[in-house]
Amino acid sequence: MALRKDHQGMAVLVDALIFLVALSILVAVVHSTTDKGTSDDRTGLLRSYHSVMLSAELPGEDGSSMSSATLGDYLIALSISGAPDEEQVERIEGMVNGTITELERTEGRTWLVIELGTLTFHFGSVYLEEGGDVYADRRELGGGSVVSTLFLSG
Amino acid sequence: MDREGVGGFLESILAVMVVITASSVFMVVLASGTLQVDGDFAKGDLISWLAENGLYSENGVIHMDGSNEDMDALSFPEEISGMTLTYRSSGNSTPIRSLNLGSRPLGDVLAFQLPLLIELNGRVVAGIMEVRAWH
Repeated sequence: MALRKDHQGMAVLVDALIFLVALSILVAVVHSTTDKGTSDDRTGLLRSYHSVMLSAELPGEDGSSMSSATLGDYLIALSISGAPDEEQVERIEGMVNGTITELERTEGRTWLVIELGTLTFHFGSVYLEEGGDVYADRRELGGGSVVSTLFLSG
Repeated sequence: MDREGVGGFLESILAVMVVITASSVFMVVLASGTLQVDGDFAKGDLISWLAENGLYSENGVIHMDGSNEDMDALSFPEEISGMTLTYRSSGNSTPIRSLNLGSRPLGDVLAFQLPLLIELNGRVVAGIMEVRAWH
């Protein structure tokens, strides 16, 4: 009687351990699924901010033919005309700073890399945390003459 | 009850405790997962509703000189009784347009912000729509 009771106790313990292992696997699956969803959300969010930023129109300037052009159009024009001067780079910075500020305020470290032909311009502070996730949204404009990549870390 | 019997009895108690602990963890995991799914669902519904009523557009432009006259006639999505919408330009915290719709907030508030293009003084600029909605 005492031996049978002992065996029953062992059987329950084994059952409980099996249950615990199954539960651990389930938790791992749920956790990995949740992470993927978050990653998709952040990628989608980055894409939305990037689209809006590139579609915004330049500040009006008297007599400027580019006053109603979008930032994307302006970047393409600059890639054709050659190296942008300091004033043009400041103009780009003024157009992208708001988006970078918004994303840094709500999501994490954000920076933008614009490639105009062979030239590369960085806006915002590049921040790479060891082991941290970095999300990116890359756009090619003007047949690849302009590449704009928006990064989000964390 | 001899030593083996006592051992078996203690093992049974230990096993029951393990099962109870594991079940509790399981319930918490399930509950947290459910809450998150509900929140996402409500947000998606709300974004669709805002787009259908011309208050948000993913690819289009929202004009900031819109009238607020017809806003009282809006019927909210299910489980939403009121909301506030604030439009502003990106990187600038000064509101350009604010809408208070429905009843005053009661209980939990769902809050998020979305990027969008807004027309301001005849120019299309990068903007932000801040949404606060409640049941």
